[in-house]
Amino acid sequence: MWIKPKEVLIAHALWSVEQQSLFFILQKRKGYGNNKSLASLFVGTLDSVFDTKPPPYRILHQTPNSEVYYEIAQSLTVSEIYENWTWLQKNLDCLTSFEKEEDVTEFVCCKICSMIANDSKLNLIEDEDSKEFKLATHKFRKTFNMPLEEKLVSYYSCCYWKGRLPRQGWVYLSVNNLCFYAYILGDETKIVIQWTDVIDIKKSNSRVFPDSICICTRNKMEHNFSMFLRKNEVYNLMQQLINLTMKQLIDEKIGFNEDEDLLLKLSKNVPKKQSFLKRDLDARALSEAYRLLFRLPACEKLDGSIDATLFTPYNKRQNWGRIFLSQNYFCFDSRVKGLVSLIIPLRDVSQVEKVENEYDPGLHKSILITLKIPSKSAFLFSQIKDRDFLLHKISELLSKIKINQKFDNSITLLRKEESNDENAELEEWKVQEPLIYKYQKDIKSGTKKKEENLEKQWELHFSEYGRGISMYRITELSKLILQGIPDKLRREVWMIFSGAENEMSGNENLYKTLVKNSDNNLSTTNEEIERDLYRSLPEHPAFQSDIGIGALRRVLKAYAVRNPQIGYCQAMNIVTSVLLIYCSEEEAFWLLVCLCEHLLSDYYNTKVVGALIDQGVMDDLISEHLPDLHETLHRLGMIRMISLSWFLTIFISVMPYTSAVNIVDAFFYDGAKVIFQVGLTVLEINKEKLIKCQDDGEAMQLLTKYLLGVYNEDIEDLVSKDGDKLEKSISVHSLLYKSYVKYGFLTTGEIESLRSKHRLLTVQSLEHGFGRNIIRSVVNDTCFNEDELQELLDFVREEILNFQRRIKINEKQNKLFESQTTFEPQLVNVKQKNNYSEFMKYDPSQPPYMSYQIDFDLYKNIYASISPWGKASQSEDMAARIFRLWDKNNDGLLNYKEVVCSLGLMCKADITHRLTLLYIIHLSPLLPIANVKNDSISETDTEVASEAFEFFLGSDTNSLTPNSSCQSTPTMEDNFVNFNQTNCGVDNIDDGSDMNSIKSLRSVFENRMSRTNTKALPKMDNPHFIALCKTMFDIFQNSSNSKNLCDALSSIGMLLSQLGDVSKHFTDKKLKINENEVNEEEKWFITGEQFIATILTDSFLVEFFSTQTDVKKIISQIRTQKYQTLHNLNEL
Amino acid sequence: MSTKKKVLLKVIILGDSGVGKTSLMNQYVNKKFSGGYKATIGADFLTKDVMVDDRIVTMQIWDTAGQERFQSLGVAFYRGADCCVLVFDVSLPSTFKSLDSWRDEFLVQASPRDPENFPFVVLGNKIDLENRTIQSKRAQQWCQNKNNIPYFETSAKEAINVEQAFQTIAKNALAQESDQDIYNEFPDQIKLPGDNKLNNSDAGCSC
Repeated sequence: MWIKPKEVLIAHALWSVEQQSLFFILQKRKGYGNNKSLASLFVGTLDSVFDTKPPPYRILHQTPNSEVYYEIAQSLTVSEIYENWTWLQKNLDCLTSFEKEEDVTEFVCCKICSMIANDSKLNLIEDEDSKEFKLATHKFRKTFNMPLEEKLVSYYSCCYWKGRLPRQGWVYLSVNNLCFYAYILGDETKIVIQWTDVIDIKKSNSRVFPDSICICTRNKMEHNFSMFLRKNEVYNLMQQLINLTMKQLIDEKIGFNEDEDLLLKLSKNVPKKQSFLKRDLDARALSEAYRLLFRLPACEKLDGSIDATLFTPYNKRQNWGRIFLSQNYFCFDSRVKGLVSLIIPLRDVSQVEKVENEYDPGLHKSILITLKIPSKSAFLFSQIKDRDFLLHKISELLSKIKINQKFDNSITLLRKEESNDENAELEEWKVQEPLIYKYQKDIKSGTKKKEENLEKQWELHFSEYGRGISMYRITELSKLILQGIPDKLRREVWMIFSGAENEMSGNENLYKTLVKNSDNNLSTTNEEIERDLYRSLPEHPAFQSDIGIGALRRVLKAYAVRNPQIGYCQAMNIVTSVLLIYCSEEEAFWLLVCLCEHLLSDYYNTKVVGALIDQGVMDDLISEHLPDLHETLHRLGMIRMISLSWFLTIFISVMPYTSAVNIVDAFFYDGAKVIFQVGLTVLEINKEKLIKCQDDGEAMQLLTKYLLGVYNEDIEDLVSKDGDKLEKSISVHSLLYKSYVKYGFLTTGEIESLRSKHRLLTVQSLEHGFGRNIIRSVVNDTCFNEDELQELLDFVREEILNFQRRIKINEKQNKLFESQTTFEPQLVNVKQKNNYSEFMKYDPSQPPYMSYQIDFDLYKNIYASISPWGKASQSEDMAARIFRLWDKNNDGLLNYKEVVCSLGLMCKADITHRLTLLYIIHLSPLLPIANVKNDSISETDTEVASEAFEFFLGSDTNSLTPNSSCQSTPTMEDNFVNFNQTNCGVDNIDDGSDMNSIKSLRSVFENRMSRTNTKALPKMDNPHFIALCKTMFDIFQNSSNSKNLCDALSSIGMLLSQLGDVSKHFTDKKLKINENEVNEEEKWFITGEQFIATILTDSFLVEFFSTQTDVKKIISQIRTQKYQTLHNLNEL
Repeated sequence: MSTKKKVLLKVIILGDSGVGKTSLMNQYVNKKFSGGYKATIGADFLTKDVMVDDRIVTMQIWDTAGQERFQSLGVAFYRGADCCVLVFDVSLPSTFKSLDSWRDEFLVQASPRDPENFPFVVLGNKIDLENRTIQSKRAQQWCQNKNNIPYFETSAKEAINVEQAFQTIAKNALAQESDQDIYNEFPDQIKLPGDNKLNNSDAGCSC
């Protein structure tokens, strides 16, 4: 074991050297082992006399030129000390890269210490709950300046490679970030990586970075971490966190919610892990695997699992395996893969009892589960070590279910009463039975016989292995499936194996309710559905008449109500129509649910992400299994082309549906892997021809033709949509069979792990592409170049994400106070939705830059950090005015384009534009006259800046207080509309004209390319002018050259005020002829032209207003600062 | 060398869902109209040999999915296109409005060398319907503003103007093709590895 390094002065006395390397020595205490020399006797005596008895093995560290040895490990056994030794050899060969020997020693000691800490942490935390973890969380927040909401998941000791030098430190994994901290020899290393920025994570083992985890980020940086104690655990956790983040990006609704139930969970033998969150995440991963294994609804959470044997009556054997238990299901899976598995819905359980049979050792510690249906079948599990606990658990779950059922029943009763009244009017439609009943085709007598034969085989299987969900599931089933399910049994088998049965039985009346509410859909969704109804399966007679069309319409609309995230996606219509042929309408709906939410998750959402991910997976699989073909397909640019329709419609749209339905059979039985299997097989069969293809068109045509020719030998003729006979290519049965023979080894787990890899790639490239679209759409309107825009976009996006997370947490807290609302989809009030969820919505009909919108709260932060004027003490007030100037639609939000345009004007534009902007934001109504007036009235406070004004304006200056103008600017947390109203109220200007004058001010910047027409600028009166000078003074305060600038400003101000006076005399004369009651003050004015021209005369001012701001530098500064100093956003 | 080679024109048909892209293609290639086409998923594809200025050329017509969420997935198909056909439904104003975004999307994704002069053809389909809402003037106006795109009013159902429209398409595509011989003169294989990588990253991200 490692020990705290301590100095050893005399290294070799009493010890003999066993192993030696440049920096380390492994020693054995003399007197141990067989060596019975005098010396060993001596040592043995010494030890016994002094009763020291140190462990017989130790490892010392020493650098070649040093006298001092450090003892770093000791052990009682040879094997343990060699374990330490090999670890040193393996992991610390980097030591040679240090220049100074002291550094080597420092590093080694530090490393050993942290390993000890790690070990003791393991031991301690397990007994002492999370005291230590709390400390770590505290440290994590403090070191990285993380907000309170940021939850630490786990932390590990490891090494970060800064260039070629390893830095020993700690890596902290939190829900949104990966952080690393090291402090060695006065050199601090601090790294923060947001999971959203990660584009790739891999284990690597290069010579430079041995045995490390490599993380690539969006800005093409690679970070290497190594020397983990348990690398796989860290890697898996990282992956899980990334996956979670990616899923969150795909579907903005899924935030990270802690599983509160887990807290209450009765746990036994659950080792206490470092943190509750880590436990939560682990549980999540297990539940996910469990649901995947047994195709259970998404809400099932694995409660626990235990080894046991299952007695299978059909072969009278005991099968070892594992029992899994979740809220509503009791499942069993055999240890031998595919031997037998079992799913028992707890709702079907009538009795659970202990069975004891002393004579049969096989029945030791057994339980017997009896079902209500079908026909009191019973299952016998034995060898359950913790039987009492399991029984306790089951009874607890059963009682919960019973309560729920009673509750449900009473509700349905109530509903029935209600619906009875309305029945007469509302029940215009009946749930459509499988369409095949109505449209029975003339079947060849041979086929009919075959069908009957198949049916018999199935019946036989059912009688032997049970029927329904709780049948013994064995591999023989797949043989039956491959032969094709007989039409009569198809609905039953699909429902059972897809898991749709489970979904349906939990939600009895939901479908009808959803259909009733389907008018609440977005009108565009319903229009899209309507348009596609007749374009689903036009070759089938049912879909040429209202019978099929009506059912299809109801199912699709109901689904759009159920899942507005997806709404309706083309391809769903095609799949659903086939489902409707064989299943009842309600069953078809639940099959569709299964398809969209489990089997092909994310396939049909607004960006078709799931299908893109699977295309990536397919790409990988092709390159692995058909490498030569992969090259050809890449050359033709086809990978992305061929597979979309295969995935989205499970081959239905590319094959005759009578053939494709057999693939669907296998698909519901075996999951998405079937699509990959068949896809690979099709490609392999056509490999030779494909390789010869000259262009993508030829290859596409080849595949299209081949797939259209896939026939079902039970069905007579292949007739294309045009009535032509098609060439037969392969029977669907042999295609399926081949696919199982050649690619049957693909497992769902393998596909899932490939999927999570590609989820990361796909989401990041979508984000990247999307970002590029945004930039492209604004690049011609701003002063920034593409690089800067990218940087700004990332920055804005980060801010928005952080903001959203905060909001989500707040919402969650608010929800705790609200009473529980019942699930009524139609009650979701869109208007009540928080503004912030709309910050990043994807709406393809809008220009891309509209997808990022920020409110004033965010804008003022961005303004303060990026704008060269942002450091001024009044910057918030200025930001508000600039914000208002750019907020064209007056909705309190600026889109990305408006943000970068406004920032560009301040950071990059030429001096005239900048001055114009500065001038404009000091004009009424942006800076209402009342504000300035108020200032002049409240002459109380004087502050530093006012001295300058006094200098050139004399003692009668109205000294402005920076705060006073802020006072009338409302706090921006309020709705922005308030802002307008308040100002308008003060100004007595009606909203319309107010808006119009702002609009005319805005128009100055409308066309960046043309020279600003400074003549068109409105005149400025004295109070506004003073405010303007004041602002400029304020801005200059933070400049390095502030003295010169202020001096320059003073003289310019003097000049301008004289100019104003001149115009006053001028107007005085004019006005005296017309009117006599003109207010003295209002006659004083300067023009924008004068203002700009005057400023341009001073070189200091010109220099200040021409400086190009390096946005990239500023942003990277902000990023580094963010985690070092507290900034007010996160100060809680 | 390029003159001897079989001339292949790649034509992409774009437009909102249900405007009749598949029907137009089938009417032109197979001279048939059927009400019963499935919604196109991914892309469909037909070829036809045509005579253009005494040359026989093979037209490769790519029919794409119209639903908005598929719009960005078209990238894979746009590569090397010689002409892009934009279709709208004269009875549905929304389909006309989205021509802009289809055109922009195409130019961005296909990134032809000379986007200003890339040949587009606009087809106002379904003129057989009685409730037309987009008048020819408006459509012509739009086309003129976009560098004089040829505009045709068609009916795939009654085969009105389809032949003529596709003749123009072929002609313009051929002009583009000879302008931009780069596709033919350098066999694909040579510029492959690098090109491919680029294309992939493009394909992934632009969606």
